[in-house]
Amino acid sequence: MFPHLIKLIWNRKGRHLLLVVEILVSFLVIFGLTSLMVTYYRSYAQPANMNETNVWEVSFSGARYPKGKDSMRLYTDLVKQELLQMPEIKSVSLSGNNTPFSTNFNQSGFNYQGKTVTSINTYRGEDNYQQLLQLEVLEGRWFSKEDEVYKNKPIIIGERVKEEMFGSVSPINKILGEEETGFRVIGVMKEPKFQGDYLSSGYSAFMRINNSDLEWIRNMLLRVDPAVANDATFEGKLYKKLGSLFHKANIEIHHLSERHREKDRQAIIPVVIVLIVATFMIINVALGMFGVLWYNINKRRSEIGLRRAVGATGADINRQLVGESMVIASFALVIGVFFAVQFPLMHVFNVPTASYFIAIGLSVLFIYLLVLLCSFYPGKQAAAIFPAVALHED
Amino acid sequence: MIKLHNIEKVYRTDTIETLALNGISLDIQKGEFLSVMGPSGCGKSTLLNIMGLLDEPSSGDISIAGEKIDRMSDQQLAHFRNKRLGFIFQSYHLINDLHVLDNVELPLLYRKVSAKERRRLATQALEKVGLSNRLKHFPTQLSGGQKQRVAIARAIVGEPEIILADEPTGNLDSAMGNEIMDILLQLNSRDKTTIVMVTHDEVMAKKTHRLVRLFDGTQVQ
Repeated sequence: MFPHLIKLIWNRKGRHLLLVVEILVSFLVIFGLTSLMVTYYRSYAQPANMNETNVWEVSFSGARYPKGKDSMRLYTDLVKQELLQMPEIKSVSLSGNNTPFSTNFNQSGFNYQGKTVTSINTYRGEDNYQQLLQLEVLEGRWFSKEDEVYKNKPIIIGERVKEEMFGSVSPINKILGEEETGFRVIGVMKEPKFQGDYLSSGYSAFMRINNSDLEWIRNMLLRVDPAVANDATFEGKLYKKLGSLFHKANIEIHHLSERHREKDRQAIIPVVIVLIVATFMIINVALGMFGVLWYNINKRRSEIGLRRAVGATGADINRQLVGESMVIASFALVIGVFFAVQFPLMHVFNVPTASYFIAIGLSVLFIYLLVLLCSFYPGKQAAAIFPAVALHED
Repeated sequence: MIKLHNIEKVYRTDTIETLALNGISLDIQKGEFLSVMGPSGCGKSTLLNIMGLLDEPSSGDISIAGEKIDRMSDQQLAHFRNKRLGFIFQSYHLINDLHVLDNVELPLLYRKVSAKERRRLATQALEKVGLSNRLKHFPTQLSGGQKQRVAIARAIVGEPEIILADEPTGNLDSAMGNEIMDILLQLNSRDKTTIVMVTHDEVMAKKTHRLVRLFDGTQVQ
């Protein structure tokens, strides 16, 4: 029966073309949506590898720093001491400007013996940055004072960078880049979800910042006492204190947990947009399928009557019409899958290959379910046509 | 072969009740070629549809080849039609998107017959009606007579015991009509196939073994 269906549909291909195009476009939209959703879900399912609760981020753009490294060290030490004298502040760490959940990016590329990894999100923090954000080191260690004496600057790489660059070999004490000027790997850590719950944290690496680092000190992270985490009075008090410490600076205080929520909201927007488009497409395809099948039943009453006369049961007719819809959908899906597999093969948008293949599978399943749903009722109606009536109408 | 006893068929709408067949009783013997005549609307096609299990009588009994037809399920009826009955229609009822060969194979699709065997039987049936050179043509590329021969091939491909023909020459000129009639007569005499033919054509009807006339749903001859 299956070759018969293929033959019948192929000979009627002109009439089915529009439906094939409609299913194809729907598949591609649903594939886009499911790719996003699968990627988001896979990120969401990963552990955070950090704890931003009760952590505030302070930015002090436009601050006038003292000239010279020694003066800068004294100045930042003073700032930190002043802040730590406030009993509500438990910990302070200077950082670069791409703090967790911020919109700032700082990306670098590193190579090791000819193997290069680019687009590595590079974060900078002090020696207590790990403890403040409760980051997890898998291998080696976090930064410490001793790193100041080494010739090569220390770097801690994320798990993915390690896998990409070193595979199963330990990267500890390996030099990234030139022997003289490169970075010495001192640790491997689990990538924290600095891009929020839904976006991939990508490749990550951490560099050490010290309190005289004029070039990189842009922000500060504070871990505050949980009792004041939502206390506006304390926030006002802190703001005044910071104002007195950073003259003429534009001071902003953000709660990392709020930034986290905001980052997640921003990540959801494209999903919502694609979801709306996909919903319209799905409704369109569903109505199209219904319409075409109803039309088919009326147009093909004589054929249905004939098939009943030569031995088809009502169930055979139902199966045939549903089967035809599935074959039409398969034509569209073969073309759709051909285009869809180009995405993982060409590593488009840096989405993990597995996410694309899961998305292709889910989209194919969804389209088949939709087609089955839309064709089942018209098929049932066709099965109920009385053969004598159908043959007489021709 | 076909026994009809006191068959009635009533078509009902909300307001009108039409008696299409009124107490028809017929006993058609195996190998008989029977023609049914009568004016338009007298119930000829309804009678043929009832014999062909395409329609149900409102009352009365039918038995075909010794089998009582009432209370058969949809599946049993379909199986019975497929195995034992062949249909020929005035308007051919060919599927225009399928080749001649595929059209003839159609009844075999609903049996467990391999593709190779289907092809062989369909080719053989088309040879019997003289269309072995038109296997890959579409119905739209054929003349009316050729289409009807394809329809006959489709009716005989499953080697049914009974062929029910509803005005098989109705759309054809007399020469083509005679050709079709000759094929039917040959099927009847050579293969002993029982044939019931509805016709308006007295000349064709006279070529058959027996003639039944209907008028307003009642058998008058």
